[in-house]
Amino acid sequence: MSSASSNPSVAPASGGAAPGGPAPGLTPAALVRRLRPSLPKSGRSTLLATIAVGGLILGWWVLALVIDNPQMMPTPQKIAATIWENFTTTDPLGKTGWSYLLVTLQRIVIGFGLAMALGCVIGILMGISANAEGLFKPIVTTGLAIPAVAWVVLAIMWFGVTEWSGIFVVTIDILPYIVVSMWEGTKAVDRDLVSMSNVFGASRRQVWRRIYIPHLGPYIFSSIRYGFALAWKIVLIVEVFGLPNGVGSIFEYWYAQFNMTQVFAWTATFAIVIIVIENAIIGPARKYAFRWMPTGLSSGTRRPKGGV
Amino acid sequence: MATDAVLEIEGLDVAFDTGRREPQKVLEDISLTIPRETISVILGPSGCGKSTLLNVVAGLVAPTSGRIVAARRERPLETAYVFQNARLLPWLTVRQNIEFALQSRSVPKALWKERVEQKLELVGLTSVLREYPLRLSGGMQQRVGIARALAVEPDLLLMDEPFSHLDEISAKALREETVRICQTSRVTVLFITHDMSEAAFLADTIYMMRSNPGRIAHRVDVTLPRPRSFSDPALYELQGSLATEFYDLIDAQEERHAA
Repeated sequence: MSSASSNPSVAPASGGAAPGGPAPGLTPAALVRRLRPSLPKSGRSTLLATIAVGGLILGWWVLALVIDNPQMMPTPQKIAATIWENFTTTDPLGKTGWSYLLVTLQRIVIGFGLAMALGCVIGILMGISANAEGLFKPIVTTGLAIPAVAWVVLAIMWFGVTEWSGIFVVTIDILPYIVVSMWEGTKAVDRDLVSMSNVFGASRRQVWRRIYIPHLGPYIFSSIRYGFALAWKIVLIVEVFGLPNGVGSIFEYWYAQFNMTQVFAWTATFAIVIIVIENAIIGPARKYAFRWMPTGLSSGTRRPKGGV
Repeated sequence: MATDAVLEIEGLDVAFDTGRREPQKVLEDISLTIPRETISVILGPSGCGKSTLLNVVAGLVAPTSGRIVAARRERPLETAYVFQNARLLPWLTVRQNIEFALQSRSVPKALWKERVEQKLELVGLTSVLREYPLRLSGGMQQRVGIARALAVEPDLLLMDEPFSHLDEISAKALREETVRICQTSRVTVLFITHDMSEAAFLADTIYMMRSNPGRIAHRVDVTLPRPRSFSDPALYELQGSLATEFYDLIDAQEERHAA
């Protein structure tokens, strides 16, 4: 796993630093300071991300050399080669990595999409109606307290190892988090803006379209980011418990054969997929949605207080 | 009712039900007349009910008793608000913010473009149509707020301490703009402030209020010629006498409370 896959433009910087380690007296902070005058803000955060990922890989590599036992800790090079092989050739079961990945991604997208839709409706209702708040609050609190594994076991008892159990577990486990986020978001709407719209006589439709929905944008994005990462983790549990054809099942297959290299390779694959989705889809969408924020604030998830 | 008045208020009382036995009286026996194309200023300490009065005029709060008579009886009085903070929608551009108000007031879409451009020009902002509010200074945001209120072409422009959050230089410039706009565009303004010099500079008529319950204590007609200057000794003198009356009122009130 290398940062070069997501950020080819900065690969030389990490390639230079990783094998030899940082030059004496040149801490990451000093490196950033030195480069700052020529770096725009986004360039600096890219550099920091590269340093972080490069540091992780370097640490892993050193650890693998010290342990010197590929069965416990394979080297990064070995893992990279294995991932490449997984996605370019067929495995002993006659499938490529893409096949597992697509099945799992599909489960995540459906479960996550359902949770997002339901969560927005319930959360917004709770934010605008005291009755809905009173009704759903205890349910949401209970939902937050139930561990994902409990849902997995229940779902398998109810639905068997079918697609339904996968989707059900993903939806039901993420739902409370999204509800809480949207609930808080709705309550935090700027009352001054709502009263302004009343003074001008705005219709209910206009108030929703022009105030509530844009205001909820940051909350929706943080729900997406959080819910998506959570969905990954949960669907894997269901798949390890027996739901076939997904990443979890191949993960479990290699684990049963004590093939540490493959277990590592698939773990690294999850991380790469999350990073790619975050940077290629969620990041640019956020940037577009928050283009109204002054530069420097648009990287935060909460909008600054309006006015003044 | 005088034919040149936009609005006439007679014996207005407002009381809020606070859950206690007696409703709390906020405004008592308010009577005033707002002549067309003038600036009327309500000057009073915080909590005297000035903003409530503005909300009654805007139709947001119903009076307990008394009459509000709009000059054009064939339709309700059309008002527009300029708030203490600009209250612009940060995710909409300047143009879209003004269009939000136009749409809210059901102004035909064909008129939007001209209205937006004309009113922005009036407040001295033409190059910011596509800007987002948070990229503008506080003073510029408030100018957009004024342009938005003017865009609906109200019978009466309500301004609730609109410059109190601005730095003194921006506030001074905007006071001058307000007077200029009022004179050139035949706008009628009801302006709320607790700032004596602001009242003296802007007003044709000043209504000084006292609190608990809010009542009009004095009416001062300001006849100084326009354009007025902040360095004019006559203005300075007026401001001084307003201050004397203002603090006398507050002192009298505190004595009553102590007694």
